[in-house]
Amino acid sequence: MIQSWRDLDRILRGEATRLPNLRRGTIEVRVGGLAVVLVVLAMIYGACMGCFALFKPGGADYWQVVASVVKVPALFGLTLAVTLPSLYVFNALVGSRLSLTSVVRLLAAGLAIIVAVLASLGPIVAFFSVSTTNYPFMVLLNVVVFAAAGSMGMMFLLQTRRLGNSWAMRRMLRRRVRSSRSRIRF
Amino acid sequence: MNRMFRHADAVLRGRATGRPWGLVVVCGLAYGAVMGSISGLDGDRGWQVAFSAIKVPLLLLATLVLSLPSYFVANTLLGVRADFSEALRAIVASQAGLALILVSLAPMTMVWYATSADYGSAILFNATMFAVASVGAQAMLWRGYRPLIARNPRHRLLLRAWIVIYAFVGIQLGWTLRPFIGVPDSPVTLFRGGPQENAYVVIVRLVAGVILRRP
Repeated sequence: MIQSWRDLDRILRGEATRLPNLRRGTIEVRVGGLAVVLVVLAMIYGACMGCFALFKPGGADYWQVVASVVKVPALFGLTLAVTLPSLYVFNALVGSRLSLTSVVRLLAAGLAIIVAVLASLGPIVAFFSVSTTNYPFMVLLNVVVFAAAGSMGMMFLLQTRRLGNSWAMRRMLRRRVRSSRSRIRF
Repeated sequence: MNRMFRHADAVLRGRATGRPWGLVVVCGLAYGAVMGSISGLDGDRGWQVAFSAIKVPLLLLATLVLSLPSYFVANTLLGVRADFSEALRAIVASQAGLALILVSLAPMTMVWYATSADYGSAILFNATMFAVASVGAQAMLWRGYRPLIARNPRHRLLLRAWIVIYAFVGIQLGWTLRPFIGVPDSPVTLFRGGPQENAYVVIVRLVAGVILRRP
Protein backbone atom coordinates (compact mmCIF):
# COMPACT_ATOMS: atom_id res chain seq x y z
CA MET A 1 0.00 0.00 0.00
CA ILE A 2 2.86 2.37 0.86
CA GLN A 3 4.30 1.56 -2.56
CA SER A 4 1.06 2.80 -4.19
CA TRP A 5 1.30 6.12 -2.34
CA ARG A 6 4.90 6.34 -3.54
CA ASP A 7 3.65 5.71 -7.09
CA LEU A 8 1.21 8.59 -6.67
CA ASP A 9 4.04 10.79 -5.41
CA ARG A 10 6.21 9.81 -8.43
CA ILE A 11 3.36 10.72 -10.79
CA LEU A 12 2.83 14.09 -9.08
CA ARG A 13 6.55 14.84 -9.22
CA GLY A 14 6.60 13.87 -12.91
CA GLU A 15 9.14 11.10 -12.29
CA ALA A 16 6.87 8.36 -13.64
CA THR A 17 6.57 10.13 -17.00
CA ARG A 18 10.23 10.98 -17.58
CA LEU A 19 11.58 10.39 -21.06
CA PRO A 20 13.39 7.06 -20.38
CA ASN A 21 10.09 5.57 -19.21
CA LEU A 22 8.18 6.95 -22.18
CA ARG A 23 10.90 5.65 -24.47
CA ARG A 24 9.97 2.19 -23.29
CA GLY A 25 6.41 3.07 -24.31
CA THR A 26 4.97 2.82 -20.80
CA ILE A 27 4.57 4.45 -17.40
CA GLU A 28 5.88 2.37 -14.54
CA VAL A 29 3.06 2.39 -12.03
CA ARG A 30 1.09 -0.46 -10.46
CA VAL A 31 -2.45 0.28 -11.56
CA GLY A 32 -4.11 -2.02 -8.99
CA GLY A 33 -2.56 -0.37 -5.94
CA LEU A 34 -2.87 3.09 -7.46
CA ALA A 35 -6.59 2.52 -8.07
CA VAL A 36 -7.12 1.88 -4.34
CA VAL A 37 -5.28 5.12 -3.47
CA LEU A 38 -7.34 7.04 -6.02
CA VAL A 39 -10.60 5.65 -4.64
CA VAL A 40 -9.56 6.67 -1.11
CA LEU A 41 -8.66 10.20 -2.24
CA ALA A 42 -11.89 10.54 -4.22
CA MET A 43 -13.84 9.36 -1.16
CA ILE A 44 -12.10 12.00 0.96
CA TYR A 45 -13.14 14.71 -1.50
CA GLY A 46 -16.67 13.25 -1.58
CA ALA A 47 -16.82 13.52 2.22
CA CYS A 48 -15.61 17.13 2.08
CA MET A 49 -18.23 17.90 -0.59
CA GLY A 50 -20.99 16.15 1.36
CA CYS A 51 -20.25 18.13 4.55
CA PHE A 52 -22.62 20.77 3.21
CA ALA A 53 -25.58 18.45 3.95
CA LEU A 54 -24.59 18.20 7.62
CA PHE A 55 -25.25 21.85 8.39
CA LYS A 56 -28.26 22.67 6.27
CA PRO A 57 -31.20 24.44 7.94
CA GLY A 58 -33.59 21.43 7.87
CA GLY A 59 -31.20 19.27 9.95
CA ALA A 60 -28.23 17.08 9.17
CA ASP A 61 -28.57 14.65 6.28
CA TYR A 62 -25.96 11.94 6.85
CA TRP A 63 -27.05 9.89 3.84
CA GLN A 64 -26.03 12.74 1.54
CA VAL A 65 -22.48 12.48 2.91
CA VAL A 66 -22.49 8.72 2.31
CA ALA A 67 -23.88 9.29 -1.19
CA SER A 68 -21.16 11.85 -2.00
CA VAL A 69 -18.45 9.54 -0.64
CA VAL A 70 -19.69 6.81 -2.97
CA LYS A 71 -20.48 9.01 -5.96
CA VAL A 72 -17.19 10.87 -6.44
CA PRO A 73 -15.08 7.70 -6.94
CA ALA A 74 -17.95 6.24 -9.01
CA LEU A 75 -17.94 9.33 -11.23
CA PHE A 76 -14.28 8.87 -12.12
CA GLY A 77 -14.38 5.06 -12.31
CA LEU A 78 -17.45 4.95 -14.53
CA THR A 79 -16.17 7.75 -16.79
CA LEU A 80 -12.97 5.77 -17.27
CA ALA A 81 -14.91 2.56 -17.93
CA VAL A 82 -17.16 4.29 -20.49
CA THR A 83 -14.42 6.13 -22.40
CA LEU A 84 -11.50 3.70 -22.26
CA PRO A 85 -12.64 1.23 -24.98
CA SER A 86 -13.22 3.93 -27.61
CA LEU A 87 -10.01 5.74 -26.62
CA TYR A 88 -7.98 2.57 -27.07
CA VAL A 89 -9.63 1.72 -30.40
CA PHE A 90 -9.07 5.20 -31.85
CA ASN A 91 -5.52 5.27 -30.50
CA ALA A 92 -4.79 2.00 -32.25
CA LEU A 93 -6.51 3.26 -35.43
CA VAL A 94 -4.31 6.36 -35.67
CA GLY A 95 -1.20 4.25 -35.14
CA SER A 96 -0.29 5.00 -31.55
CA ARG A 97 2.45 2.83 -30.06
CA LEU A 98 0.63 2.54 -26.75
CA SER A 99 -0.74 -0.86 -25.77
CA LEU A 100 -4.02 -1.19 -23.86
CA THR A 101 -2.09 -1.58 -20.58
CA SER A 102 -0.10 1.56 -21.33
CA VAL A 103 -3.28 3.51 -22.13
CA VAL A 104 -4.79 2.37 -18.81
CA ARG A 105 -1.61 3.39 -16.95
CA LEU A 106 -1.50 6.76 -18.68
CA LEU A 107 -5.14 7.47 -17.86
CA ALA A 108 -4.65 6.25 -14.28
CA ALA A 109 -1.74 8.68 -13.97
CA GLY A 110 -3.89 11.52 -15.37
CA LEU A 111 -6.67 10.57 -12.98
CA ALA A 112 -4.17 10.50 -10.11
CA ILE A 113 -3.33 14.14 -10.80
CA ILE A 114 -7.02 15.13 -10.88
CA VAL A 115 -7.94 13.23 -7.71
CA ALA A 116 -4.84 14.39 -5.81
CA VAL A 117 -5.60 18.03 -6.65
CA LEU A 118 -9.25 17.50 -5.64
CA ALA A 119 -8.27 15.91 -2.32
CA SER A 120 -5.76 18.66 -1.61
CA LEU A 121 -8.51 21.25 -2.11
CA GLY A 122 -10.85 19.12 0.04
CA PRO A 123 -10.12 20.94 3.34
CA ILE A 124 -11.01 24.29 1.73
CA VAL A 125 -14.25 22.86 0.28
CA ALA A 126 -15.11 21.22 3.63
CA PHE A 127 -14.53 24.52 5.43
CA PHE A 128 -16.77 26.42 3.00
CA SER A 129 -19.36 23.61 3.22
CA VAL A 130 -19.70 24.01 6.98
CA SER A 131 -19.49 27.79 7.00
CA THR A 132 -22.08 28.68 4.38
CA THR A 133 -25.74 27.89 3.78
CA ASN A 134 -25.76 29.28 0.25
CA TYR A 135 -26.32 26.36 -2.13
CA PRO A 136 -25.53 28.14 -5.45
CA PHE A 137 -22.18 29.30 -3.99
CA MET A 138 -21.25 25.74 -3.05
CA VAL A 139 -22.21 24.48 -6.51
CA LEU A 140 -20.05 27.20 -8.08
CA LEU A 141 -17.13 26.48 -5.74
CA ASN A 142 -17.26 22.76 -6.54
CA VAL A 143 -17.44 23.49 -10.27
CA VAL A 144 -14.34 25.74 -9.96
CA VAL A 145 -12.48 23.09 -7.92
CA PHE A 146 -13.36 20.31 -10.40
CA ALA A 147 -12.38 22.58 -13.30
CA ALA A 148 -9.01 23.37 -11.67
CA ALA A 149 -8.33 19.68 -10.99
CA GLY A 150 -9.51 18.69 -14.48
CA SER A 151 -7.27 21.29 -16.15
CA MET A 152 -4.27 20.01 -14.18
CA GLY A 153 -5.00 16.45 -15.31
CA MET A 154 -5.46 17.62 -18.89
CA MET A 155 -2.19 19.55 -18.81
CA PHE A 156 -0.41 16.46 -17.51
CA LEU A 157 -1.82 14.28 -20.30
CA LEU A 158 -0.96 16.86 -22.99
CA GLN A 159 2.55 17.31 -21.59
CA THR A 160 3.14 13.55 -21.49
CA ARG A 161 1.85 13.22 -25.06
CA ARG A 162 4.11 16.06 -26.21
CA LEU A 163 7.10 14.42 -24.53
CA GLY A 164 6.23 11.11 -26.15
CA ASN A 165 5.78 12.81 -29.52
CA SER A 166 9.09 14.68 -29.28
CA TRP A 167 10.77 11.38 -28.53
CA ALA A 168 8.99 9.75 -31.49
CA MET A 169 9.97 12.71 -33.68
CA ARG A 170 13.62 12.44 -32.65
CA ARG A 171 13.59 8.71 -33.29
CA MET A 172 12.12 9.28 -36.77
CA LEU A 173 14.71 12.00 -37.59
CA ARG A 174 17.54 9.79 -36.34
CA ARG A 175 16.36 6.97 -38.59
CA ARG A 176 16.20 9.31 -41.60
CA VAL A 177 19.68 10.68 -40.91
CA ARG A 178 21.01 7.15 -40.55
CA SER A 179 19.40 5.99 -43.80
CA SER A 180 20.63 9.07 -45.71
CA ARG A 181 24.16 8.46 -44.37
CA SER A 182 24.07 4.85 -45.48
CA ARG A 183 22.84 6.00 -48.91
CA ILE A 184 25.76 8.45 -49.22
CA ARG A 185 28.21 5.72 -48.26
CA PHE A 186 26.63 3.38 -50.77
CA MET B 1 10.93 38.27 26.90
CA ASN B 2 14.32 39.35 25.63
CA ARG B 3 14.57 36.17 23.55
CA MET B 4 11.10 36.86 22.15
CA PHE B 5 12.22 40.33 21.01
CA ARG B 6 15.27 38.79 19.38
CA HIS B 7 13.07 36.32 17.48
CA ALA B 8 10.74 39.13 16.45
CA ASP B 9 13.67 41.21 15.25
CA ALA B 10 15.03 38.26 13.26
CA VAL B 11 11.65 37.73 11.58
CA LEU B 12 11.29 41.41 10.67
CA ARG B 13 14.82 41.57 9.23
CA GLY B 14 14.29 38.44 7.17
CA ARG B 15 16.67 36.23 9.17
CA ALA B 16 15.78 32.63 9.92
CA THR B 17 14.31 32.02 13.36
CA GLY B 18 13.19 28.86 15.05
CA ARG B 19 10.03 30.28 16.67
CA PRO B 20 7.77 31.91 14.06
CA TRP B 21 4.76 29.80 15.18
CA GLY B 22 5.13 31.05 18.74
CA LEU B 23 5.21 34.64 17.51
CA VAL B 24 2.01 34.10 15.49
CA VAL B 25 0.22 32.79 18.60
CA VAL B 26 1.55 35.33 21.12
CA CYS B 27 1.18 38.40 18.88
CA GLY B 28 -2.21 37.18 17.59
CA LEU B 29 -3.45 36.77 21.16
CA ALA B 30 -2.23 40.27 22.05
CA TYR B 31 -3.85 42.04 19.09
CA GLY B 32 -7.03 39.98 19.47
CA ALA B 33 -7.33 41.02 23.11
CA VAL B 34 -6.97 44.68 22.12
CA MET B 35 -9.47 44.23 19.30
CA GLY B 36 -12.11 42.82 21.63
CA SER B 37 -11.65 45.49 24.30
CA ILE B 38 -13.95 48.10 22.71
CA SER B 39 -16.40 47.92 25.65
CA GLY B 40 -13.76 47.53 28.36
CA LEU B 41 -13.51 44.65 30.83
CA ASP B 42 -16.61 45.24 32.99
CA GLY B 43 -18.93 42.27 33.67
CA ASP B 44 -19.00 39.67 30.95
CA ARG B 45 -17.20 42.03 28.54
CA GLY B 46 -13.96 40.34 29.64
CA TRP B 47 -15.18 37.27 27.75
CA GLN B 48 -15.25 39.25 24.52
CA VAL B 49 -11.58 40.13 25.07
CA ALA B 50 -10.77 36.44 25.67
CA PHE B 51 -12.79 35.26 22.63
CA SER B 52 -11.20 37.83 20.32
CA ALA B 53 -7.75 36.99 21.69
CA ILE B 54 -8.23 33.33 20.78
CA LYS B 55 -9.84 34.07 17.43
CA VAL B 56 -7.02 36.13 15.85
CA PRO B 57 -4.27 33.44 16.08
CA LEU B 58 -6.92 30.84 15.22
CA LEU B 59 -7.80 32.81 12.07
CA LEU B 60 -4.16 33.04 10.99
CA LEU B 61 -3.21 29.43 11.74
CA ALA B 62 -6.42 27.77 10.52
CA THR B 63 -6.22 29.66 7.20
CA LEU B 64 -2.64 28.43 6.84
CA VAL B 65 -3.55 24.82 7.69
CA LEU B 66 -6.56 24.80 5.32
CA SER B 67 -4.58 26.25 2.42
CA LEU B 68 -1.38 24.22 2.80
CA PRO B 69 -2.47 20.82 1.34
CA SER B 70 -3.40 22.32 -2.03
CA TYR B 71 -0.22 24.42 -2.03
CA PHE B 72 1.87 21.34 -1.32
CA VAL B 73 0.31 19.47 -4.25
CA ALA B 74 0.72 22.52 -6.52
CA ASN B 75 4.44 22.69 -5.59
CA THR B 76 4.81 18.99 -6.34
CA LEU B 77 3.02 19.28 -9.68
CA LEU B 78 5.21 22.18 -10.79
CA GLY B 79 8.33 20.21 -9.87
CA VAL B 80 9.56 22.38 -6.99
CA ARG B 81 8.78 20.04 -4.09
CA ALA B 82 12.44 20.05 -3.05
CA ASP B 83 12.07 23.75 -2.17
CA PHE B 84 8.84 23.28 -0.21
CA SER B 85 10.40 23.44 3.27
CA GLU B 86 12.09 26.73 2.35
CA ALA B 87 8.82 28.05 0.89
CA LEU B 88 6.95 27.03 4.04
CA ARG B 89 9.51 28.82 6.20
CA ALA B 90 8.98 32.00 4.17
CA ILE B 91 5.20 31.66 4.51
CA VAL B 92 5.25 31.07 8.27
CA ALA B 93 7.73 33.93 8.72
CA SER B 94 5.35 36.23 6.82
CA GLN B 95 2.52 35.09 9.12
CA ALA B 96 4.66 35.94 12.10
CA GLY B 97 5.40 39.28 10.42
CA LEU B 98 1.67 39.93 9.98
CA ALA B 99 1.04 39.23 13.67
CA LEU B 100 3.99 41.44 14.67
CA ILE B 101 2.76 44.34 12.54
CA LEU B 102 -0.69 43.94 14.10
CA VAL B 103 0.82 44.11 17.60
CA SER B 104 2.80 47.20 16.66
CA LEU B 105 -0.49 48.80 15.51
CA ALA B 106 -2.36 47.74 18.68
CA PRO B 107 -1.63 50.99 20.57
CA MET B 108 -3.28 52.93 17.75
CA THR B 109 -6.36 50.69 18.00
CA MET B 110 -6.48 51.35 21.75
CA VAL B 111 -6.31 55.10 21.18
CA TRP B 112 -9.05 54.82 18.56
CA TYR B 113 -11.31 52.88 20.97
CA ALA B 114 -10.57 55.40 23.74
CA THR B 115 -11.48 58.38 21.58
CA SER B 116 -14.38 56.98 19.55
CA ALA B 117 -16.98 54.49 20.82
CA ASP B 118 -18.61 54.17 17.41
CA TYR B 119 -18.85 50.48 16.42
CA GLY B 120 -18.91 51.10 12.66
CA SER B 121 -15.75 53.20 12.72
CA ALA B 122 -14.08 50.54 14.95
CA ILE B 123 -14.76 47.90 12.29
CA LEU B 124 -13.37 50.17 9.58
CA PHE B 125 -10.30 51.01 11.67
CA ASN B 126 -9.52 47.35 12.41
CA ALA B 127 -10.04 46.44 8.75
CA THR B 128 -7.49 49.14 7.86
CA MET B 129 -5.03 47.74 10.45
CA PHE B 130 -5.43 44.25 8.98
CA ALA B 131 -4.99 45.65 5.47
CA VAL B 132 -1.76 47.44 6.50
CA ALA B 133 -0.48 44.27 8.20
CA SER B 134 -1.36 42.18 5.14
CA VAL B 135 0.55 44.52 2.82
CA GLY B 136 3.59 44.35 5.14
CA ALA B 137 3.34 40.55 5.37
CA GLN B 138 3.12 40.28 1.59
CA ALA B 139 6.26 42.37 1.22
CA MET B 140 7.99 40.01 3.67
CA LEU B 141 6.72 37.01 1.74
CA TRP B 142 8.09 38.33 -1.56
CA ARG B 143 11.41 39.05 0.18
CA GLY B 144 11.53 35.50 1.57
CA TYR B 145 10.67 34.09 -1.85
CA ARG B 146 13.33 36.10 -3.73
CA PRO B 147 16.03 33.37 -3.61
CA LEU B 148 13.47 30.74 -4.56
CA ILE B 149 12.27 32.76 -7.56
CA ALA B 150 15.88 33.36 -8.61
CA ARG B 151 16.40 29.59 -8.52
CA ASN B 152 13.20 28.73 -10.38
CA PRO B 153 10.74 31.32 -11.84
CA ARG B 154 7.84 28.89 -11.24
CA HIS B 155 7.90 30.00 -7.62
CA ARG B 156 6.57 33.40 -8.72
CA LEU B 157 3.44 31.77 -10.14
CA LEU B 158 3.09 29.58 -7.05
CA LEU B 159 3.41 32.55 -4.73
CA ARG B 160 0.68 34.41 -6.60
CA ALA B 161 -1.52 31.30 -6.37
CA TRP B 162 -0.78 31.06 -2.63
CA ILE B 163 -1.83 34.66 -2.04
CA VAL B 164 -5.11 34.07 -3.91
CA ILE B 165 -5.89 30.81 -2.04
CA TYR B 166 -4.92 32.29 1.32
CA ALA B 167 -7.03 35.41 0.81
CA PHE B 168 -9.98 33.34 -0.46
CA VAL B 169 -9.97 31.09 2.63
CA GLY B 170 -8.96 33.83 5.08
CA ILE B 171 -11.84 36.16 4.13
CA GLN B 172 -14.44 33.44 4.65
CA LEU B 173 -12.82 32.23 7.90
CA GLY B 174 -12.70 35.78 9.21
CA TRP B 175 -16.38 36.15 8.35
CA THR B 176 -17.25 32.82 10.04
CA LEU B 177 -15.36 33.62 13.25
CA ARG B 178 -17.20 36.93 13.78
CA PRO B 179 -17.57 38.85 16.08
CA PHE B 180 -13.97 39.95 16.59
CA ILE B 181 -14.91 43.31 18.08
CA GLY B 182 -18.38 42.72 19.53
CA VAL B 183 -21.29 45.15 19.28
CA PRO B 184 -21.01 47.29 22.47
CA ASP B 185 -24.66 47.06 23.65
CA SER B 186 -25.32 43.42 22.65
CA PRO B 187 -24.65 40.36 24.82
CA VAL B 188 -21.24 38.70 24.38
CA THR B 189 -21.30 35.69 22.04
CA LEU B 190 -18.58 33.38 20.75
CA PHE B 191 -20.10 33.29 17.25
CA ARG B 192 -22.87 35.21 15.51
CA GLY B 193 -26.20 33.38 15.71
CA GLY B 194 -28.48 32.60 12.77
CA PRO B 195 -27.70 30.75 9.57
CA GLN B 196 -24.05 30.70 8.48
CA GLU B 197 -23.70 33.22 5.68
CA ASN B 198 -21.02 33.30 3.06
CA ALA B 199 -18.74 36.34 2.88
CA TYR B 200 -18.67 36.40 -0.92
CA VAL B 201 -22.44 36.05 -1.25
CA VAL B 202 -22.86 38.95 1.19
CA ILE B 203 -20.44 41.08 -0.86
CA VAL B 204 -22.25 40.24 -4.13
CA ARG B 205 -25.60 41.03 -2.48
CA LEU B 206 -24.28 44.36 -1.18
CA VAL B 207 -22.85 45.35 -4.57
CA ALA B 208 -26.03 44.23 -6.35
CA GLY B 209 -28.11 46.23 -3.85
CA VAL B 210 -26.08 49.36 -4.50
CA ILE B 211 -26.27 48.94 -8.29
CA LEU B 212 -30.00 48.16 -8.35
CA ARG B 213 -30.89 51.08 -6.11
CA ARG B 214 -28.75 53.54 -8.09
CA PRO B 215 -28.90 52.47 -11.70
